[in-house]
Amino acid sequence: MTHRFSARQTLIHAILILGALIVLLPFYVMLATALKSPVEIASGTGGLFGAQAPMVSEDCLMQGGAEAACLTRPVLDNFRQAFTKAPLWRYMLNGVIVTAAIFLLQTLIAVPAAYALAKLKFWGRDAAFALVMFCLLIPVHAIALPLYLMLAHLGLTNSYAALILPWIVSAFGIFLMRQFFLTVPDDLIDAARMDGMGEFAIIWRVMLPTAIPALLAFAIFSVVAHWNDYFWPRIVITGDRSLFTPPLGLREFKGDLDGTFYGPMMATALVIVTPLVAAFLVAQRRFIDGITLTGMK
Amino acid sequence: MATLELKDITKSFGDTDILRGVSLEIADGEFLSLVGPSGCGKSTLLRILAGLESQSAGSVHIGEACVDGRRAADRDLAMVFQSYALYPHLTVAENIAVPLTMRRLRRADRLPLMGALMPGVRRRRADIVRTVREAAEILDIAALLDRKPGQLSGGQRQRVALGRALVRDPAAFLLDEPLSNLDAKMRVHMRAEIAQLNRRLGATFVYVTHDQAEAMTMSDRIAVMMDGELLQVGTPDELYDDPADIRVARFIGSPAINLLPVETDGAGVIRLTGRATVLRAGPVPVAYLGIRPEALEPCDRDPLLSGRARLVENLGSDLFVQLDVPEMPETVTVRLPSDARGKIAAGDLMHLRVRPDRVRGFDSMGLAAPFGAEALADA
Amino acid sequence: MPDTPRLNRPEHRQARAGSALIAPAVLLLLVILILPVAVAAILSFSDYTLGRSGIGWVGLKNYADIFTRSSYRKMITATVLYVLVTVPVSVALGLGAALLIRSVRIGASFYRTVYFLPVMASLLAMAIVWEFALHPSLGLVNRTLAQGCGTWLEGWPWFARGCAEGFPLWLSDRDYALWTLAFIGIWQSFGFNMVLYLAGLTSVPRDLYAAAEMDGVRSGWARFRLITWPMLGPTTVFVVTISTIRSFQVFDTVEALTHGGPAKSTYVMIYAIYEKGIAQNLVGMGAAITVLFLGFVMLISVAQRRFVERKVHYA
Ligand SMILES: Nc1ncnc2c1ncn2[C@@H]1O[C@H](COP(=O)(O)OP(=O)(O)OP(=O)(O)O)[C@@H](O)[C@H]1O
Ligand SMILES: [Mg+2]
Repeated sequence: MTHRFSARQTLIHAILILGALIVLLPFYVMLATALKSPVEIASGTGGLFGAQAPMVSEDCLMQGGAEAACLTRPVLDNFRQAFTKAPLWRYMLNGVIVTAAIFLLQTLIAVPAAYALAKLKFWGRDAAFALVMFCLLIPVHAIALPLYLMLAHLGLTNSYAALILPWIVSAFGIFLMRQFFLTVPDDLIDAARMDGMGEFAIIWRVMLPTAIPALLAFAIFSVVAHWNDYFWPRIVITGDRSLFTPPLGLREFKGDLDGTFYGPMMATALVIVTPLVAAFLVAQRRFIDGITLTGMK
Repeated sequence: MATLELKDITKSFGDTDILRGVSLEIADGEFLSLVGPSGCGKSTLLRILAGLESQSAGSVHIGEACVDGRRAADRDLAMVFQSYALYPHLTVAENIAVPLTMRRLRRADRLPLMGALMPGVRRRRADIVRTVREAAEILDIAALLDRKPGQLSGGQRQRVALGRALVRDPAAFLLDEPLSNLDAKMRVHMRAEIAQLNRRLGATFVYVTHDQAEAMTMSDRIAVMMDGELLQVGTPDELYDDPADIRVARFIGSPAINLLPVETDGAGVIRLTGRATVLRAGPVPVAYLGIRPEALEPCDRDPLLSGRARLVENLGSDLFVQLDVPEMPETVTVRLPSDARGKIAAGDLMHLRVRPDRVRGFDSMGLAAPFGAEALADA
Repeated sequence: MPDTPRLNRPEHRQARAGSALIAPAVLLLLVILILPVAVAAILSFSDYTLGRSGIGWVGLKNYADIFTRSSYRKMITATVLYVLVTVPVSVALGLGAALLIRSVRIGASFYRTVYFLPVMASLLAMAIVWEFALHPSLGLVNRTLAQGCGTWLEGWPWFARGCAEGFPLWLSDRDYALWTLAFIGIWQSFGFNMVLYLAGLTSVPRDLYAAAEMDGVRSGWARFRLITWPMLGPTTVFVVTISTIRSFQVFDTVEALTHGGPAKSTYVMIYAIYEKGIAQNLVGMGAAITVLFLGFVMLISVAQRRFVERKVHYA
């Protein structure tokens, strides 16, 4: 402790702080742009919060609003536009529906399978496990094209089913839960059988509660991946805005022109990024442990 | 309460026979211990009895009924496991209640919200709570009911596991090495408690252990098992005094019995290291003499054997002396009363004789071989 | 047990339950993962397009195109270059950050949180933010660089040229675009590697360092070479594999910022699959690239498993 301010420590902090500044730079840009007026954005002034001077919203005028009614503050105008130019709430809701459905179905399918692989003896178990291990090698994104063709043949593109179905079986989830279930003593399962539980009761009342840490880790892994996924929704959702997930919505906002709606666009980005970042900041340990657990298998 | 009966049970895993024709009857209310070295098939037998595994051949009866093909939950047996097998996410009270909720409440009743609305559920739930509390009081864990298993000591966990078995009021209790995870002191304590529980409940107990001391102290009867076979079933005294097999003799008793290789000559005289003894073999030639350490005593003339003390172990109440006897492959252990303390030291020459009624003979196959009538008359 | 119905045996009940519980998963794995691989493999020999009935078989033509046409050669170059840049840098930064964070006495959890933030944030959203930050005139980056003009920084020729002729267009300059995307990829992923390395570091027994101290190992570098790096071996194998597979799959930044351009300098494989197979409906070509891509990715995973199998086995 006597060397708290040693040169070495100071140097390390200097490096880490420099790194932190670079890491945080886009977050700063996003936040600052979402808060500022078009003039401030164009001139690069106004610091983080902007002056928040009253201004007349051009967008509002173009919609035919009266000048007095269109008097607003930059931050309010940016967020108003984010939510009115596109059905952002709808996108967010879709994001929630899709990520929740994916995770629930993944759990529903992976947990019984993992239990069977870890604790039951049956013909073909080794083959089934080999299949899981092989499927672990196939990234779903890589086979997007044939999956898309299959869905198209079934007439399922542009539907929630298209967003959800390819993900409902997670070889990784099965593998992870199996590894966890292996550590549950056999005696516990036999005790449950003596107590009168059937295999289903054992899964949901004994295995799952003891596997909560693993399940939570998998939940974090799954939700982060699918909330942020852009590639797959981009392929199967074409045009129908009511099915857009948040990244699709933002991408549409950006358009392909270099839009000048930087304020509202960054407000949209902020809205999309915030839920996970906030959840992460609140439950950091859980997230990092979860990611580590799923990362290290 | 019920009798248990195993009829000619065999079990094989692939080519290996784990159990080879085990037959055993256990009386109502009896405390029967199943002992044997590790890997002899004790747990397998118990699991077959419980219905967790099936036998390859033979049948299991509980009370009057043949229960083959009946699932474990429907056999009305409770089992206590070596690792306690408590549900880690449930409190002690919930753990103990599980067998009751699974039995007394129907599936719909157990649903979180709906269940409360079902007719009679509230009363049945109250019954369960009361039963759990009673069991907890019997086992002296009423103060722990709200804790999770992770917050309990080994002994407390063991009691909870017993409680979970107790609340069901089963036909019989099956216990698979329930004490082997406890420290020595706790083990002795729980040993007494479990034996008391058996008397208090009057229920049938089948108790698996590889510790012969546990079996000797707790049981009405002991079944000794080796390599998938029952060698002998009997009271602790019978097993100690009249082992039917040399392996039983070796397994029961601590310190171990002395087994002296001998020869039986044409006239039936048993010769130890070439010298004739007073013992006469019966119809079957005797190949080994089994002598408990306390059956040997020092003497001045006509000793059965003589040797030099190699090691003197003073336990306070007794003195165990290990002797090197010429031409004997192993040392011979003698128990002396405590007043021999200080009178004997390593290196001393000792002459020993034996109380003939305490000697047992075994033939070359290891089976008990009774002595001829004269031998006993000589005593 | 001749007199008991075999089906009532506990082993049979278990076996039935096991088959029933695994069946949905196996079925779905076959349909969702294995079948598409087969479909891609078959279609890669065809000129199939969605919506047209009938299918024409073209043999190895699609594969031949990949290896002869310059646009596909550029695709492979761009992909490999992207991976070869992102993986080593993000792994090294992850390890470096982990080591530095372990050695600070205060603020470790602050740095960890900050560095991990990009992993949580939608890459697409952050790519769009980066695009704005890198905007030639409005962007924070070039504006900040411009403030360095007229100072000692002009002694650096690259910087002087930037001041004279304008700083790079980052995303629309073929010499910079791939590097800029790689930078964003690294920015996004090194925090993940850092977290894995932090976990790996906690599993290095402290006693080893004490023992090394006793053996006269003084310098930090020597300690690193002797203990830390070897003990982190399994972590490194894993981190390298997962980083490689992830960076092979880069798509969001490419699609949103460069569309594979300029001059196909950022035309990575997943984007090519998307553009050919889906946007342009040249399914056969897309399928061939898919097969090639799967080959790459599986090769890496299998190599990793081989590497690790000697120490860890999953049974
Ligand atoms: N599922 C199985 N497959 C193959 N062999 C088995 C199986 N279960 C048990 N065995 C074998 O059967 C033998 C008896 O096992 P069991 O568990 O009954 O022994 P035990 O007497 O309880 O031993 P311990 O005192 O160590 O618990 C052992 O050799 C064991 O390896
Ligand atoms: Mg056992």
